Amino acid sequence: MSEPNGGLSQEEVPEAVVAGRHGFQIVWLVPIIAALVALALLYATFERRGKSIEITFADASGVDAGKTTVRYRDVVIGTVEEVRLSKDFSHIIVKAQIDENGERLLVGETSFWIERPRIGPKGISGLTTIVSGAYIAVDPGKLGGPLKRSFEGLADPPDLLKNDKGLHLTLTSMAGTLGLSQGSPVIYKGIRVGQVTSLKLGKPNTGATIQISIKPAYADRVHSHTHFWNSSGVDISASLQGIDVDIASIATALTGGVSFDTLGEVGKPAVLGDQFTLFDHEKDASREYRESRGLHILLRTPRLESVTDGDSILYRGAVVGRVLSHDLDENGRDILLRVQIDSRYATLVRENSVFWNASGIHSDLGFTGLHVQVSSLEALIKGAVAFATPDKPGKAVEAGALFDLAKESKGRWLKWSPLISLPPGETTAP
Amino acid sequence: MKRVICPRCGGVCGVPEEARKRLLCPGCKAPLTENSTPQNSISRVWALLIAAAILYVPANLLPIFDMELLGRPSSDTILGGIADLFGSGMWFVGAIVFLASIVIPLLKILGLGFLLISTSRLGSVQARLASTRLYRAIESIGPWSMIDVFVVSLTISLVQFGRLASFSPGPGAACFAMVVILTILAARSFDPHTLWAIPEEN
Repeated sequence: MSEPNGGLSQEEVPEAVVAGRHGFQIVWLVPIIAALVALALLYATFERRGKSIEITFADASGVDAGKTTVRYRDVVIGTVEEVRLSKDFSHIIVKAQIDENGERLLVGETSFWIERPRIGPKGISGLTTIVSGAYIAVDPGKLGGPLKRSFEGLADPPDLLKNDKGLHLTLTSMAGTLGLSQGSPVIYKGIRVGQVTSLKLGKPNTGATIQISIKPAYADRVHSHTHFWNSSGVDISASLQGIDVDIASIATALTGGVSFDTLGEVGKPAVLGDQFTLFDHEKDASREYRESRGLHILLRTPRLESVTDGDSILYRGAVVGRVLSHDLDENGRDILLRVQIDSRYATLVRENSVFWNASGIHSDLGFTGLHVQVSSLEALIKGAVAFATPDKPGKAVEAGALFDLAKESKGRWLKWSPLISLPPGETTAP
Repeated sequence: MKRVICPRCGGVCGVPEEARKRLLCPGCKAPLTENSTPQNSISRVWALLIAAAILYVPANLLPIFDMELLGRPSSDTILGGIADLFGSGMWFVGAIVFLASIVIPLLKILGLGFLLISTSRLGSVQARLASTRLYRAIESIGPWSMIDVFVVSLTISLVQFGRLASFSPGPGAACFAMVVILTILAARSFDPHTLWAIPEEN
């Protein structure tokens, strides 16, 4: 086709223009660039796949090859590649790819467990797990150690995360751990400050052991005199004053919880590993504190008649104290009632005060007619101890003073009206 | 001095005998290389074809998309996606994707390579005619391979539901798009005239 057969002569044909030098053709840059790009992409992809590890689990429900992720602090650091049975079918081997930013977590003490959707104490944070399915959680050991490739998975989440900086305390409870579960909140003045990390049975006859972790920011609220109580569930107590329904919070009613507080003297700050007693109720927890306050005296009576522990001490019908406990004296002849008078009213008790049993109905049939004495409706049913101080009060008494408990009051005692000034203001023990 | 017809404007011009330079039509400035120096055209096709063949490897090895459905990430290569389609019983769609994404690019690359190698050895008219048909087929089939790229890009723009489901292209998609584009360019650069060039005597 290079031979023209038209009428054009040689001279009339214009000559082609030379465009440039012949040499390296730019188009050959295309395969070079393509090769570089391909190599870079392949290198980046296969390099970033990181290390392949094997974790053995007793069961691996919810773990899917290619879908289940490995996460540390909720950040994905790898993906499960393969789930297979071991040769003897006794456990399951999960093969996972850990990408490069997670590789350094694969040290000797690193533990793995399957975080399954848990409805309960973890609350809303579990919601994504419910939808997205289980994932394998990581708790790395001390970083910087030699790297490992195969691990044993834990059946349950570990009690304590190894690098959890919280204050870990041990609570013991004879009554058990009713309503508590792992992850239950630890509450201080209504604020969640930590959580229950594990529940275990201790040695025989020591009840249950509860490990809790207090967030570092609140660790300074726990002292050696702090008392802990189980605030799980709903506490209903009926008394003559009415029915008391005590719900710490809806959350703890459902999930259980441990509350603590420090009343009065705080003591030393708590340190890691300290042991405390877990009381069943707030009342039990604060009893020791309440009983330690005020004036303690003893009442002697030959027979324990309708007065029981917790009964009120009345002064002119007002409650100023309570019966803490009772016991036989060392001779076994009399009953000693340990009585606490609230500190504000301690000054009402004088050397010449008289105490009598104000329980029940005292009728007195005499020449002057029928006298019926009832101190109060509560005293009628529950029992109570009343006292009075003569118009000329004697010296104040010291703790441990002993008084006799009269069976009933004498008429003139009720007429006594001494002038004793009380310390102002301060509210009495609860 | 040879004479050639400019492929663009049809003007006739003279070309020096040692036609190793890049020449332009004196009238419309279109390159005359295709006609005058088949070697030049062929080397360009080779370059584009080799680039396409190189990128074909990552296009098939790397994930073409990264999908996150309900917090579960998954990514799949083209072959994995086709296997999934077959696995879930969508034979027809799977076959189309397999044809468009695997077979056609591969056939194009192999076909163009065959044309480039065989072009200097063609003898009979029948052989040249068959090669020309092959070239036409390769050229017309080219854009159909973009099906995959379109599917990925449409899905990306449609499936964006935040945490529920999200979809993003993988490195394989870019490589695949480049393979398709490079093979189209290579097919365009191939000058069918070379299939009919009379071998120079002596």
